[in-house]
Amino acid sequence: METLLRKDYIYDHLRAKSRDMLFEIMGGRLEKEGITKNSYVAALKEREEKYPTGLHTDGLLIAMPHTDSAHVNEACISIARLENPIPFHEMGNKKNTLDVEMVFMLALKDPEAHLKILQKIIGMFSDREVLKKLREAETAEKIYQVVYEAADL
Amino acid sequence: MKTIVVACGGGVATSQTCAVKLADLLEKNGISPSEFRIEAININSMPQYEKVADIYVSICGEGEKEFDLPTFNGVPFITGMGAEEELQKILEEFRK
Repeated sequence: METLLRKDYIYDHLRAKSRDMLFEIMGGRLEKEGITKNSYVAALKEREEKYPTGLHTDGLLIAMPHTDSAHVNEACISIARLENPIPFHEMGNKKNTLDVEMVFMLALKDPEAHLKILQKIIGMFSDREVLKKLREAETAEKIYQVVYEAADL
Repeated sequence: MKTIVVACGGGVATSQTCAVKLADLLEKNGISPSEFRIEAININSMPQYEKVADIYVSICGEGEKEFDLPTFNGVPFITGMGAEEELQKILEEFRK
């Protein structure tokens, strides 16, 4: 299970000018390193357009882009703290735009196998204490620690 | 026994999380697990569930096809924001 969350794919102060560029940076690396298939980024963009994933939580604006497991080779969660907020449409409310501060990009191969961890990770988004810790986590190492503990890995 | 369906674009991560949370909240509000069945599905399977479900909790939002079911917003159960209010609406519908 420790492979799902990998320090290598956690970024602090990631800089991107747009949502697409962000997907290309984070997802492009997953493609290049064989974690996902080469269709992952395109599929991610398409899914985000149709079913946006921005979340207005109590303390942090988050997005959790993900797509069908057919585009994935190995399960991985890539996390980025953004240097500058990037607009995402809100989940369940496409008309609303959120200036997202932190991104949890999910590459899921067999979601059923990871369901408990996934639920714990998504569960963080409604946990005020954890959100506060995430907000204060300035380095990739600290972000990793917060998520590792919160997801009870 | 009432059937609640929770649908999102993939039918896994988001809808499952929402379903687990909602089931827990229903129980905490005095509804016995034997009184309801809750299913997390892919939005594409919705037409099959439309006839059998009693309550639809959507995470897909506006602009999507609407179904002939009492429909509620599932996003508050992911973020916790506005969850109590949405839960009360679902409870009211459930007890009808």
